[in-house]
Amino acid sequence: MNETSLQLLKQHFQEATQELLENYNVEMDGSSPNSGSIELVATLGFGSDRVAGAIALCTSARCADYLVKPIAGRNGHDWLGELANQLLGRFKRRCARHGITFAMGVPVLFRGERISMARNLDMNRSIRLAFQTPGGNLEAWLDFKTSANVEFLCGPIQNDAPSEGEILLF
Amino acid sequence: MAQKILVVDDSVTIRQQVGSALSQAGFEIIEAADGQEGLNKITANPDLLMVITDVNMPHMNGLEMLEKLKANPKHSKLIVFMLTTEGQPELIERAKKAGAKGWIVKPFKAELLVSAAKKLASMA
Repeated sequence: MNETSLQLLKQHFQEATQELLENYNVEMDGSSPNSGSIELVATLGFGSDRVAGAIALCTSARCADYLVKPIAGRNGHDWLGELANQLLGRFKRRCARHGITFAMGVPVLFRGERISMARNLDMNRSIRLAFQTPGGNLEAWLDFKTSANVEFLCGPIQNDAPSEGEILLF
Repeated sequence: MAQKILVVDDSVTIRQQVGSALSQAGFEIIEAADGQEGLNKITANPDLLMVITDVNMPHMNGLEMLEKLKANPKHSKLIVFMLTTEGQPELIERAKKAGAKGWIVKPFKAELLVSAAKKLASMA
């Protein structure tokens, strides 16, 4: 993947994450470079013959409970999984505008203590975004690989996919 | 008697959100966590008016559930609405072809969902 495609991919993942959190009124106090006390990881795989990988939303149990409060939900663990699902959906729609599409898996949640992204990863294949919220640290991870010569088509292509919140009646 | 809607989603939080919005609008809500459970609930509730279903779910996804239930003449008139984070045109076309009446991309606005449900209910 060339540098332009890589930058587009990173930009879309970052924008998809920020838009998702803003949509649910999650306050973000700038970026937080240090890993917080991550106890929960909600992850989904994705794949096609051209690109494959996984995304994850990672946080503490306390922050998961903070995230679910604005929507009057009761289960922070479940909501973290749904947020990860919606993050991958947003990212997928953005990639589709550049001719890259893939199938999505379903969210899986696992629990642990002091979980962090490995420090020696190839940053051309991994992205870690970290946010400070009033409920604690929240991280979004993307890990991916592409087939040889897969590039984002420069300039968004025609795409009929509906946007978030859009309703189609047949 | 309230019209009955089945909400199928693997997220309990989404089921609560959708159920809350629709029950406040006067609908009776039942829930299922995946397509297989959804089919079982549809069979057990012959008076169902509508199904609102996610696409990507474990065990059986929403599109498979839609295609299975529409293949059964007993359920061919049941209104099915997809509520999903997916927006891929090929998936929307597959749902349309199978007989779905609508598609909403998450996150949804409760008032728009209720409005769409009422519109589809009035056409039933």
